[in-house]
Amino acid sequence: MGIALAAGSSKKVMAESVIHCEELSKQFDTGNFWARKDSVLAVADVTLDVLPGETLGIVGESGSGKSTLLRMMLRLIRPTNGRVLFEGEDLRHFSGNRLRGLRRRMQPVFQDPKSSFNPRLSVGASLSAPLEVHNIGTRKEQLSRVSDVLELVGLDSQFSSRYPHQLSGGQLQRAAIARAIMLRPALILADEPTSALDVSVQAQILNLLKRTKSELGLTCVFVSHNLGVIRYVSDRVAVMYRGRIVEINTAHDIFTRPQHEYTRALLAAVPGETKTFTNVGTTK
Amino acid sequence: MNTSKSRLHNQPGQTPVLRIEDLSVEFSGARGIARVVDSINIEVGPGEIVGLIGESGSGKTMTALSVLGLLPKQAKVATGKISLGGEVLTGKSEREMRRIRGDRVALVPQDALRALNPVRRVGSQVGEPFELHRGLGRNEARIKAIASMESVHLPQPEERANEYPHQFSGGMQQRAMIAMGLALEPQLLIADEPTTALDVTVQARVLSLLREIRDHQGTSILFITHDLGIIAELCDWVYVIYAGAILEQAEVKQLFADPRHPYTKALLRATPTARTVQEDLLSIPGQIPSPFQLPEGCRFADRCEHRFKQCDLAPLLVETDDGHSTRCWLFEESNG
Repeated sequence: MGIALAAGSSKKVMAESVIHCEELSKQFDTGNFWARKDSVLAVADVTLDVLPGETLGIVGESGSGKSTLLRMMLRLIRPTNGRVLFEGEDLRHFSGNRLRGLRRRMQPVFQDPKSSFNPRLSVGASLSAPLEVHNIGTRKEQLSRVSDVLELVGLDSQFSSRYPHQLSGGQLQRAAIARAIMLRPALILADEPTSALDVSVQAQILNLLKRTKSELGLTCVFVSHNLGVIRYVSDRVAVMYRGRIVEINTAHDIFTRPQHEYTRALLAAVPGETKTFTNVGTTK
Repeated sequence: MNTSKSRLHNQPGQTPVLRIEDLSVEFSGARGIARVVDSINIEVGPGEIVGLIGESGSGKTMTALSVLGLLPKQAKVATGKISLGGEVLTGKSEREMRRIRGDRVALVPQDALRALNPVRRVGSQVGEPFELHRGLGRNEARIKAIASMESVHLPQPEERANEYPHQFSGGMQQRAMIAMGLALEPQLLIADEPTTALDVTVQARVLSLLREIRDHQGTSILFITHDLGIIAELCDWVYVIYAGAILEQAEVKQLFADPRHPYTKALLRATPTARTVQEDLLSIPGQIPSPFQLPEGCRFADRCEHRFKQCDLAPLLVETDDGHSTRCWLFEESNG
């Protein structure tokens, strides 16, 4: 692929985990302009590691704190307590150029691709923006990288000149993944990337994520409320409830030997599973 | 949990609660005419829960809105007939439909919070059907409303009736909508993705409430969803709709045991489940065709792995056995 994107190689390789969260908490103040009275502990004392090359699934219901946790890993919001280490370094210590370097190494994919693309930029312009920001390659090299990556996510290079509103939800989510891997990050953090998509399109995107992850050797954190999706993509799974991780284990054990009462309740609530999906994997 | 065996196909003598015959719905706009629902037939028997499953743009919601006479202005029923308990609804005036809606057929929409009036107390909204359709006074209506709220297991209905929608959780708002829908004991409840916005544990409780209502009151339910799991969990009979056309219909157990249409099969193989390990999900290539440019032949052909020459012609919905019907040349051939 065109340009050598020498990954801003880290000096400290001592830490084993890509992301290490340590006693992480986030408190949000509620109330309004006139009255500030209450606060919500959205994430409470979470410690976890994201290991190189794995997909860690974070599953929970609305309000469980899973998105807040992901945003703290992305350094989009500051923790109230605790810290996040990325490749052994505290996220708070990044600023200026080094912060920009960090952004190259971790990339988000969000739920609604329509709101995460600038409607006035063509898809190609949105995709080459990260290269321009980081000053990578000549204009010609940038363009060829855009069409290489578009091809990698299964979009024809003609999509480069189209605008977000001309793409379907699935196509746009492919473009969002393309944008996330433009800079060859080490880590992708995805927040409900398929929740807005139809089942038939969701499968395309999940498979694309799995394939790019293994082809590029990425590490992945995947947040979802959908237990089926989490089982499909994850190596390990963390179950969140009211801001805490109530259970974390291999995907296999979470789904076959859930230990925590809440995990069991969650699995039992999935409709239809006991009845019909037994032969699905094998139908011709 | 498919206790009801009242399938009309098996009991031809019975009058269905809802019968949709040859219904087509068209939108007209600057880009021409879009046929979003194309000659569909649906029946819902007494006490039956019938699922209508489809992805976005399949026409499932437009079908529901046609029954209620609530199609958007740009859309119209182009062909077909809808009857409720034998009475033809199509062609009725808005005034006549108003008397029927809320009384004999009710809707439970997807977004309960948006459907509820934010500045009116929940109790007065749930009681409104009694005032409008039964001419009850406000106090009588309130008493009835509290009873309705109790029947959907809203906790402390008397106190809750005085609260506003925003004071309810999402699950409770949806229960309030169901209470309102069921207030006058309609023959038919149309539920349009009523649990899509809810958490999975809350969804499970709402689904079991709907089943309880059917079992105890014999209410027929047309349940619209994109979730195969809900179909399996709740419904007796299912119609699979794609790009405005029914591609397959069957008893629910039968559909999952022996799915026939390539689209149904693909959908099953594309759905990730929590109960089994799946090595690979099927990526169904492409996307649903635009209603402005429907293919002349089979609507799923462009995305179908079994496509052959015949698929350039439109297949018919053919009954293969016992009411199980499929719109696919693979089955039409073998059938004769």
